[in-house]
Amino acid sequence: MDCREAKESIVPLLCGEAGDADRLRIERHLAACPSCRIVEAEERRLIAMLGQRPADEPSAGLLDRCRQDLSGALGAAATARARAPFWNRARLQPAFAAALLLAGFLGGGLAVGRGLVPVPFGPTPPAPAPSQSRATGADPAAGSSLNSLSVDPRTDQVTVGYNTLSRGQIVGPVADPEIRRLLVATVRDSFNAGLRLDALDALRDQAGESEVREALMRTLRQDRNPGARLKAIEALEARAAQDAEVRGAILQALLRDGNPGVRVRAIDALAAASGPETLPAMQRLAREDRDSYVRLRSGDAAEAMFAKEKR
Amino acid sequence: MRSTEEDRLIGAAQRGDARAFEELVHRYDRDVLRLALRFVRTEDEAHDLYQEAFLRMYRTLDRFRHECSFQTWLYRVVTNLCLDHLRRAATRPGRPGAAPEGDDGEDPLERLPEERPGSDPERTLLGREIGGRIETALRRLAPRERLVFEMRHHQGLRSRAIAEALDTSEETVRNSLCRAHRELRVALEDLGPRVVPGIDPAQAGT
Repeated sequence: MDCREAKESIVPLLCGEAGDADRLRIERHLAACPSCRIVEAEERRLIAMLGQRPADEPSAGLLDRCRQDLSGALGAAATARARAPFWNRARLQPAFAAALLLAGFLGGGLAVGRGLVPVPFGPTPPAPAPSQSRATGADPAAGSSLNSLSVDPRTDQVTVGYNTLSRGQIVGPVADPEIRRLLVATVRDSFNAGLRLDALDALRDQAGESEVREALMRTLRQDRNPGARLKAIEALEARAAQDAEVRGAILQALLRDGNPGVRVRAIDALAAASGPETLPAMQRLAREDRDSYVRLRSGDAAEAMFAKEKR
Repeated sequence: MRSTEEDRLIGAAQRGDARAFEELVHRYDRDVLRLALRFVRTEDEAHDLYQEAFLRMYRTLDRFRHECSFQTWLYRVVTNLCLDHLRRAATRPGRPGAAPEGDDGEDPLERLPEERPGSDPERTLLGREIGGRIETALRRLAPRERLVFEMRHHQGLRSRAIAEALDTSEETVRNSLCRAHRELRVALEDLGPRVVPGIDPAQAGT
């Protein structure tokens, strides 16, 4: 190896990108060549200085702002997407929801008793595919999405308007698998925060169902509406004591959620469930959270849990 | 492995599921911002670069054919935007890309993060001085060399990944990196302990 080649090889060597054979050849050259050793020493010095460079991570505020604005822009882009199939576009248009809500009143007389009552607004909808996959969002096969929703508190009947290839409406109890599937799809896919919140309300007592639970955990992780994340915790809370995955999801929210209200709600849910992994997280939060109320509440919770463990 | 889950998300996003796309974005956007912040002057500019990168990807998502990884594709878009930015900055009157020190009216130290409580003040000060000097030296590099340098040292990418993202050969990347190192070595000669021939400061325990 000559000096020219050696000087070109020093940087890859020090960056850990030289193969064993190259490494041996360079090292042999360096052992015999003082001038290349100087270059090598200077390179080491430079790399050490680079290591002292402050690692400027993007601030949480900037990241949040970027994500929110992108989210808004994507919503607008989706509306404008001329290629988008009908059921994608329709759920962005409030006018449709209003029209179907009206249809709901007209069809109300048919919503008697239990079970599904297809309203003769359009043809009977094809049964939506089960939401086994979280990513089936706009798949036409699973394309039903809800665009209006109302719950009758006296009869506990849910009336939903939906879009598939045709528009329609079904009425039934939340526990009905088809209604539940529509609600889950709404929680997962709707761009309309109001509808997502309504669907979350309707699913409140359904966290025992795994598809509901999955949708709730996803909402808790990703929904950009803090109200929706809050409702997700509330619906999941009942399952927290028995389900470690649910506790994990709430714990993530506790440590990462940007909204103090959501974090406080997570403290309450986890303190009630008292899983084994909760105490260290509470203690950490009590020390480090940027919100003083969250620090206070997690400190209280940690103390109570600690006292209970000692007993 | 994240690839199967990622492929699923890509598929859903290609069918128009904006939320799946957002989930993909959230896997990589911190890296994108970190890289962008190395090239732009303000958080607002980094924000704009972020939006442009991901919206461009969303618009062209149906052309993504898994010929490279999603991450590589992302880096292609982002590095192109960074290069455009650097070139624009270089031709903008009064804001030369290869700015001599102080010429642009911005002290490179000002952009560095404030020291955090609990950190060793002397070390932080040294870090800030070195950081400022490195910053100034980097601005004198050609855009592509600077990009390669930051991708290697700030993002921790290997030559092969950088070559894929820049659509060039590994050898070209290594050459750019060597040139960047040489220029930085010269620019920072007077900083830190003196190098005495025959003594390796890394082994001398500095």
